[in-house]
Amino acid sequence: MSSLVWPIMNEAVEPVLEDSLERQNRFISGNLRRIFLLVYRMVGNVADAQDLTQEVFVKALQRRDQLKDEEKAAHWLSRIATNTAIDFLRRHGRVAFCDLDDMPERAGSSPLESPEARVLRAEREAILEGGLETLTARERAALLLRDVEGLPAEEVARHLGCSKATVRSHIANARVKFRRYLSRRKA
Amino acid sequence: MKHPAETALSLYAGGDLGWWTRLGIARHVRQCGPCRRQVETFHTMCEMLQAEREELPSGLEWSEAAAAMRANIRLGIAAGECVAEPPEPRRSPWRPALALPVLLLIVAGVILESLPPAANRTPAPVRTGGALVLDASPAGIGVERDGRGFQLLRPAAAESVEVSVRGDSVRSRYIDGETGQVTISHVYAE
Repeated sequence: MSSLVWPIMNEAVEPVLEDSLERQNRFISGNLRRIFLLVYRMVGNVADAQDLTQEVFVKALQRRDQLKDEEKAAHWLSRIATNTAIDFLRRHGRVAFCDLDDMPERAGSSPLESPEARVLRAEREAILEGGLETLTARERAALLLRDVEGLPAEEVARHLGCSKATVRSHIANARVKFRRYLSRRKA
Repeated sequence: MKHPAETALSLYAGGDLGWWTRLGIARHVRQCGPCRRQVETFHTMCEMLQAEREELPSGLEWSEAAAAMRANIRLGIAAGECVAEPPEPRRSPWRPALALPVLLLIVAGVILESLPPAANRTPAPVRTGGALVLDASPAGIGVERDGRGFQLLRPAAAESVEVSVRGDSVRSRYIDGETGQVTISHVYAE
């Protein structure tokens, strides 16, 4: 469990360097999709999510000597991603989601996926994004980390740098707002 | 009947309450239809969020996007290493031990610098083989034997005077304060 993730690059001789690069690539590949989706749910925009995901990995890998074991590295990465997305939302304000009609055709979808399935999928996505848009940045982060990532409330509190009571308040408010949004949408 | 707050029901549905509060709400929910339905909608909502966990946004070609991100990450790391400050050199443990001798040298230098110039110190007359006397003083330099000799006097306008006796010779160096002309006189005894 507590294997070193990367040796320090400055001291690396060639095989160690190769090993380090291989581990680095493995780390990126193993976490890229998860982090991208977390950031995307937070900011609601593919282009910004891509930029921020890159920023998160660069930040993490520049401080790779702080990473001691792989399990903690994944949590640490999620924390960097959450904070990076929150900072972005603070700087740029609320995100704007595009309308369902404006959404591009899913180029990467399976050709076997029926048009109906595609429409249903786009609708689910629109519901999720619309619901998340009603939340503040911290509420959104708390809800995503707790209900989507499945982290316990204590871990979410550590990610967001606040108390467990505060994070429970964020989670509760987010769930209530999201439920009200769903009710309004159904009505 | 008093109903729990909606926020409390949402925390109950997500399993985020302490056991005592959870027990109280569970008892209420068993008896109250509207609260039970609210809890069910919270459950459904959580399931929906979890189902969307792995869903990529519409229109995104993941393999292309992932390749582009990987390339940019590598580029970012390489760029960061280029502009990173060089690692701070390790402090040698004996560096403090060097400080004392250096400090002593500086103090010695200051003391020597503060000493009056050689001109103010009159070298003692030097007697060489027999009765020959070499004399150097701020007034000038000279040679004397058996009560006879000569003296090169210091010019009146000389501001800086330096006289010295070395072996069988005596030397003076004057600088004229008005013209800056330097006069060096060197007298050898034979």
